[in-house]
Amino acid sequence: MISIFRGLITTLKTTFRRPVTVQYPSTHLPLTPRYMGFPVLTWDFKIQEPYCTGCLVCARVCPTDVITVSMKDNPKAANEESHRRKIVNDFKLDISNCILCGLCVEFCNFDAIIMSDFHEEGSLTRVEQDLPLVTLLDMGKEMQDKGKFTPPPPKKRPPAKAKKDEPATDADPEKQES
Amino acid sequence: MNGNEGAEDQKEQRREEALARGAERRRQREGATAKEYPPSPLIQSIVKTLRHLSVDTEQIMDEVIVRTDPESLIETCKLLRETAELEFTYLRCLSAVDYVENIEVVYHLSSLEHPHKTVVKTQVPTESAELPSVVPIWRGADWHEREVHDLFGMAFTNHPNMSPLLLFDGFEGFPLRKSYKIPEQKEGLGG
Amino acid sequence: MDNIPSTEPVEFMLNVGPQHPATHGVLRLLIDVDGERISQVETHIGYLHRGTEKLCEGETFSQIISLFDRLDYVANFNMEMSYVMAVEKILGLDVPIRAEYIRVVTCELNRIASHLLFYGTLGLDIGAMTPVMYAFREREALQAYFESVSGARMMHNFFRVGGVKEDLPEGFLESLQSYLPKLKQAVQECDQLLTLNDIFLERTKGVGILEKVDAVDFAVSGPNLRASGVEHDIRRTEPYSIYPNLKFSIPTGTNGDSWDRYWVRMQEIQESIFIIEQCIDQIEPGPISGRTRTVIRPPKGEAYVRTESPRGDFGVYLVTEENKEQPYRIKMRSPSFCSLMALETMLQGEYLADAVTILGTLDFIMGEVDR
Ligand code: SF4
Ligand code: SF4
Repeated sequence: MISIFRGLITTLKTTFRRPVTVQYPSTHLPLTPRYMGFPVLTWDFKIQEPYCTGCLVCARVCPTDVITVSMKDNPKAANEESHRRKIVNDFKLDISNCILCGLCVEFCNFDAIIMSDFHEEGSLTRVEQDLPLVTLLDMGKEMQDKGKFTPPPPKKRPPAKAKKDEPATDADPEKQES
Repeated sequence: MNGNEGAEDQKEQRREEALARGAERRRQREGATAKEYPPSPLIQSIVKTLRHLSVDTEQIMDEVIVRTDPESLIETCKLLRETAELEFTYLRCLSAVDYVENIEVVYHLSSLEHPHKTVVKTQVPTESAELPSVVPIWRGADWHEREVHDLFGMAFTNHPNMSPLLLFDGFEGFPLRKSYKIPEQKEGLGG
Repeated sequence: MDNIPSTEPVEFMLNVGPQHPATHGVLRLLIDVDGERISQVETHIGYLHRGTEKLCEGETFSQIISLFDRLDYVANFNMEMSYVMAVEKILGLDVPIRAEYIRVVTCELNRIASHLLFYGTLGLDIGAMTPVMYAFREREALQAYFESVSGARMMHNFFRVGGVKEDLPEGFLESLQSYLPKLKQAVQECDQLLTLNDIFLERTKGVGILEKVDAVDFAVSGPNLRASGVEHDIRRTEPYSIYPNLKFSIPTGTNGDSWDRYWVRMQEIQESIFIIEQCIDQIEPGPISGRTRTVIRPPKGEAYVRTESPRGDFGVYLVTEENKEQPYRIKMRSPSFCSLMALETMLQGEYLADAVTILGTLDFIMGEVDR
């Protein structure tokens, strides 16, 4: 009998505590800085083009094969506006199968893809779950506005190893950013 | 044509050699060396216990491996369990590996009384995959054997109940064999 | 005269599951009852079989970590631990000491979270609605910690071969240190609600006894084995990671009944808190991972690694080929699988109403049973 009363006292004590629950759709719990939502693509504001070069690394490393990428010659590279000679042509991410593992982000060599805060991307049809390049970049810009992305630091490449047509000083325009 | 194929072969071979060298270099660079494990005193007692049976005993890393043929499997297991200084009462794991021609069944044993462990391995040809069941020795082998039966098509004689465990009735093929191909996934709703 | 039912005893077969709230997943039991007593049980599993072992053979070593998260979805860190340790053993790789500490802290936190879930659902199983609220309040706090470390609440994908993905976030250890006393108090509250409650004792004492012999024979492990009076803990018998540096005791039961299994788990929460406190004291700054490996190609070999997951002895048997990015074979030895094997013996002769208690105290996760 006593034990039951002891339990009741515990219950009574907690009755007057502040509730720890929130009403979900109206209130959201704060997300931690490392939160992994759907991956999105980043935008290089300096040159006005995506960081992504379409190198296919993320597509190959993705455990669920949800990324489709293709690559094209960068028109801006021809008139020396950009150091990226190849650029992403098309990018598709099927978020209905993405398992939010973050491997694509980890393996990308160009910091072109980041994990966002977006996690409520439900839709009524499957077609809407295939996010095209434009949407991903828009989401990425939103994340960059929130300060979730720091541009990659300049890569210190020894000048001797730089390509002939790409002088070492021009090879890393990001140098000026830092 | 032939020359082409030869060239292809050579190319493939060179590639593999390069890969092996690369892996070796990488291992050296990262300071990853094969760890030295002290030789286990268990080997002697196992060899002594199983001396009248045709078994090979060796130590790989920290595990003592006993290779036996299917005929003496039951005898080996019985001795390993019942000998006073061994007492392998705890069946850690029972699994199988498909080496295309042969299927290897692996029994990981350990003892609760003594701090030692061992591995018993036996190989049977894939076409006539059949082994005596060890359920009379360790009752815990029951579901493990049913699982191996499901996934590898290995028959265990004397097993009390060999009905499918993980797969549904009427499943075709043995999924964990290397020859099994995962069927194409259907896209869209209802797939 | 014909419509008078016969008084002859009739065996009645009851089908429980696979979609049944008391079976904690998709377990199906065919129970033959004789009056109120269970005479025979047949267990059917496999409803959650995803073929993880086959899938692993087609994935690279870095991708497989995310598959292991999905085995025991209540103790994801512990699952990853076994796998990365198996690959490291084949590679002969040493892990930086700080990474080991981070691994142990997260694993022990996960053990607490898992045992809290057990506590809550056991309460629900036997008809007490309150405990689950208390348990989930603390679980929520723990999951917030997981999120701050790995970025995900459940499927962390945080451990890497040779280390961990990222260092702990700033202020994590301080915040954890100030939270642990609160957790202790909460566990005490949980204790007061259930542990010595008369009704709870009535429902669990002497129910579902798992004899020591049976437990060892069926290779039951973890808290279920310890409740039967066998002092067996992989962290002690085959110490891995930094467990040799840590002090902790192994709670064991005496009777192997449901209450013992419950009690052992509640004590383990205390031990885990103690372990984490020691880790916070001992942890030092340093590297958290060896060289970042993008491509892992282990040499030919095989390794069997077992770790103590919240449910017991979780083993990974890994066979590799030379210069392949994919493993040749991975076998997961799951503790819940073996616990369920013992269920048929345990349920025999028990009351039907106690079946749910016994299922609850075995604390299995179907994702790990079926793989
Ligand atoms: S996101 Fe990164 S890894 Fe993927 S294609 Fe673009 S540059 Fe390559
Ligand atoms: S988060 Fe994982 S599943 Fe999602 S796109 Fe990236 S690699 Fe693929």
